[in-house]
Amino acid sequence: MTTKQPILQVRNLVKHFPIRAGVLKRIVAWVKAVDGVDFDIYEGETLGLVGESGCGKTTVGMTILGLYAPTDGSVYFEGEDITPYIIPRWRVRKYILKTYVKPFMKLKKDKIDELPNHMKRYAEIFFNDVKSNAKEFIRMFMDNRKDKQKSIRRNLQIVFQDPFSSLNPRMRVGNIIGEALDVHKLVKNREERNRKVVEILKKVGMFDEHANRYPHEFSGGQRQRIGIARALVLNPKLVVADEAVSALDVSIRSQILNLMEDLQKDFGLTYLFISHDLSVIKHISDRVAVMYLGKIVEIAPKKNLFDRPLHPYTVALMSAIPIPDPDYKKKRIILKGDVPSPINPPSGCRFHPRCPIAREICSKEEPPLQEHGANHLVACHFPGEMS
Amino acid sequence: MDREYKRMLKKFFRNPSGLFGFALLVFFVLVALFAPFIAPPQPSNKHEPYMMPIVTWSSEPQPPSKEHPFGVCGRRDIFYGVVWGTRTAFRIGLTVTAISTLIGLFIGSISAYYGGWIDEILMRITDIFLAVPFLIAAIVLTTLLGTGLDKVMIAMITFGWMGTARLIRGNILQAKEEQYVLAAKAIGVSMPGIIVKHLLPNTIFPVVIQASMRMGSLVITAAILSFLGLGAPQGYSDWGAILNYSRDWILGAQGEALKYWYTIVFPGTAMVLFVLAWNLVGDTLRDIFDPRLRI
Amino acid sequence: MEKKKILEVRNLKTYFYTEDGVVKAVDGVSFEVYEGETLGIVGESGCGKSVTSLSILRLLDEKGRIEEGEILFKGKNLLDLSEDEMREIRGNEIAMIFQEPMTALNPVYTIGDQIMEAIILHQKVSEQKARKIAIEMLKKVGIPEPEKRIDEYPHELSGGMRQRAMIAMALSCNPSILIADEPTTALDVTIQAQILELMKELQREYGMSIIMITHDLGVIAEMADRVLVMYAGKVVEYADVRDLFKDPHHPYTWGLMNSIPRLDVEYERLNAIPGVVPDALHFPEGCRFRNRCEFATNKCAEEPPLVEVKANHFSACWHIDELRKTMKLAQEGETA
Ligand SMILES: Nc1ncnc2c1ncn2[C@@H]1O[C@H](COP(=O)(O)OP(=O)(O)OP(=O)(O)O)[C@@H](O)[C@H]1O
Ligand SMILES: Nc1ncnc2c1ncn2[C@@H]1O[C@H](COP(=O)(O)OP(=O)(O)OP(=O)(O)O)[C@@H](O)[C@H]1O
Ligand code: SF4
Ligand SMILES: [Mg+2]
Ligand SMILES: [Mg+2]
Repeated sequence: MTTKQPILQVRNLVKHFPIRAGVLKRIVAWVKAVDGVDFDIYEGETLGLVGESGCGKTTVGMTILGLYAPTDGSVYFEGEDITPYIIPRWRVRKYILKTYVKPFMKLKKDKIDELPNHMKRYAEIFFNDVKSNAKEFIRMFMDNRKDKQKSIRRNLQIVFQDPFSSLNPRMRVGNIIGEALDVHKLVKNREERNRKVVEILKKVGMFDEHANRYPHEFSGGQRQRIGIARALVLNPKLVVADEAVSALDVSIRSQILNLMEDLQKDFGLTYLFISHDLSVIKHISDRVAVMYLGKIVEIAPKKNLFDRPLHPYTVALMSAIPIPDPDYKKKRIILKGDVPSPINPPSGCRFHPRCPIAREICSKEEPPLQEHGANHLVACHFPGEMS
Repeated sequence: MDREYKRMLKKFFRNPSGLFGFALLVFFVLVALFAPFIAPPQPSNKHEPYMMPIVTWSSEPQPPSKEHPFGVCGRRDIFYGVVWGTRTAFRIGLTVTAISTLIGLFIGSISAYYGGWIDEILMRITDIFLAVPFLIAAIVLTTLLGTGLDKVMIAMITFGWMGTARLIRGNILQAKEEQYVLAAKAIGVSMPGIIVKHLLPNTIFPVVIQASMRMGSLVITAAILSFLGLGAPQGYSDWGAILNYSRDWILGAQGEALKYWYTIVFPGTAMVLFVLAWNLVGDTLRDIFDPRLRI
Repeated sequence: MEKKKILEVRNLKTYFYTEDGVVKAVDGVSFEVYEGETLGIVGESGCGKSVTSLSILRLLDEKGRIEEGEILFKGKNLLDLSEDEMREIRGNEIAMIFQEPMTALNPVYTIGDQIMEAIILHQKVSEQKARKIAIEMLKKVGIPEPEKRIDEYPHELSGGMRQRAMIAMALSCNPSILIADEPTTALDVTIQAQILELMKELQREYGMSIIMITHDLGVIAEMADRVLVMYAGKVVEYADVRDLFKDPHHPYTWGLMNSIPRLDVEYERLNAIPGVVPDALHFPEGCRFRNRCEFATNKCAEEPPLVEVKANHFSACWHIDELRKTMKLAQEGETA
């Protein structure tokens, strides 16, 4: 694992949504959908992201794809900071000043080597290439904005949850898939486009004649295949699968899961696999991150996480899943209460009002995400005390 | 989709009032197309066939007869005016509806797509336009611009796009939530591309329906303006204009209130049927596409 | 089984007459519900689970018609009752809770109003009394501060709380049968665990029977005593829960069990059932599973009857012996 390169690094990612009210549409509150999230995804792996409804999984996915502009924090793709290209232009200057220029100004030049990798690269550029000229440095991030955005689109793709609303009902399947090729000018003529469309359709287990049909002529599972084809036709490196099988029938779900595993091998894909279903996550992931109310509470290689969950929430989540075996006897941990609102998250550890082992410190101090055992990070004051 | 269209067609033609409206519409189209054969212009006004020929020198209306099946009014043949007036009606209706719908589409989709303060500004402007009663606004503007059919049309376009803008905005706001729009963004489709390829095709039908309903009422408004003397000039083949100079005879002769009935009934009937045709067709389309749209 | 039968459905056929044709949503379904037990109905989307439950309460819309069959509740055929008599049964004798509590609750009334309405209607008590019962019920289903919550509107409650309120409403008249149509599908797993626990507790206390409709085999394993497996409007298997999971006797049930990833088992690769769920307008003739079934032969073009393959275990398949053999081989392969 450690020898592998992280393809995507997320640092202190924050996304808050404004709630507006009244005639003047004034902002009355903020939904803290994602509130400081750090994780890496390594090349070729599947990172599972699991958590209950509203905990911010989709928001994480959308933000790293640049479909939502992050409120704060950075996203690195293959070592390059792509944040400037996914936030509005007018925020770029401030972002660069805050993230790089200010810290670098305070930095002694010989301390560059102590910086984390993703920062080091920019420190070198800052000190060596542009000779500490902040203006020049910022201009670097403004240049080629359109091209950079396009390349982000090509490399990062998404498969959506709802196989019905994610395909335009008035477009033929061939155009739904081919649109991406047109936008990125990846084909020279119609024949080439058709060839590519058919090629990818076959890859996802469909037939060439399907290109001429409309989405409503297909079942949920087939539509999801079309959605996958649309994502893969651009040859992306990372695919975010947001509840990609949740809306499917049980007997179809396994077909799609198998397909996604096959495609991962064929195309060398990296997946961020988002789901609320721990069983699915367990099946498909190499590593798993558990989210609760806008934060990652635990992240670890699959085996570690399922064999020895350290966070009380993870433990409770696992025990809450009904096992399809009437003889399977287990101790159920029934959490009290509901998930609190992300508008006013609880102080300290956000899980403390529902946590069976919470103590005084939990409501006062927020536990940081720290390593407990190899590659096993957890944000709890008493990791592993509940099991 | 093809199957869907077929089903809609089947539904349409199973609906008697829709079928009736459609038949009426076809009838009007035929009349408009074949006007030169139904009511051939006299050699003297070949170059301006829209002017109703003067057929008599007496100013008193003449009842229907063999040569003038709808009678004569203001020295001119009513039949000729009604037939050629069909063309005028279509011209006004189609032009005004098309242009005002396009303006509405543009403003509404920009407003909905961008949201935020752009939406706020555009919608406030729409509100202001909506606050002025349509007819009064049109009258005032026509008076300012001067009389004439083209001026009437400009006035009606200026105050006719708001309904479309609001409708399309609401629909797009709804469609924007659909994931295929996000998917298009994820692929990298540009803003105009998303509006034109993804949003409009899925939201345009209610607009088309609304436009077809508006078509009829526009002709009435144009007629009212003509009736007030703001529209078409004397003698022009326009239903409203015919009604305008039948104005003096509306009260009939002494002791014979209905004596000049034909000066009103023929152009009036044409107008009512025209409006009815569009409304029936629009109504039926609306029922087929989305029963929830019914108010 | 000396338990008393409380509901018996015999050869129920419910069809929908749509513009595109006849949807045979439920086509000859039979089962019984015993006093105090839970019958699980499991199957994929569109297989007719909800239509079965709506047919029992005769709540179908105008397109739906019960073509054939009997629904015997405490010996009476519900299909013979007048609409007035049926209303007496609904909510009072047989109550129902739905998947999406938000759509099942009226947004313009407080939850108190809605619970009290049912109580006043069926128990003929005064308003004060009804309010007291309602508060009592809300406390029972674990809603904190019921005196305050009773005056809140549905949108002020979370999904889990709404489902609790629905359960309170359903149980307020002490029904003999509670039909729960996917009561936890819209909820989070930790909330689902709460609700399932609550339902078990209430069943112990009130002794009612539950018809638990779900597509989640895990929920079935946890809740049901007996299970009805449906596929495309038909019953394919009907057995005790333990027997069903240990010894499935229909290729569909077996395939389904193998195709879901499980938390307690490690899979190299999932065992997918090929093909798609057939469209309700075009169910195949004969065995409706046959175009997806690995055991299918020409014989399957004929409709397989639901037969007792072992004590209290029914299955509708022509090739049970082949299935048994394959399952045995698979088992040996696993242990080897
Ligand atoms: N566009 C938005 N505007 C305002 N609030 C939003 C928006 N998108 C999400 N939220 C809020 O942010 C929080 C996190 O939402 P998100 O969709 O990321 O959750 P999720 O984990 O994906 O949940 P689910 O499992 O239901 O999909 C929720 O409280 C949601 O209401
Ligand atoms: N009102 C209706 N009109 C026409 N067809 C209907 C109607 N209600 C249900 N159906 C059809 O009957 C079949 C069975 O539907 P039903 O709702 O019972 O499925 P279900 O098993 O409850 O599925 P789900 O898990 O999705 O709730 C479906 O094919 C559905 O399309
Ligand atoms: S930090 Fe405290 S409250 Fe939070 S999970 Fe750990 S023990 Fe529970
Ligand atoms: Mg989500
Ligand atoms: Mg259902």
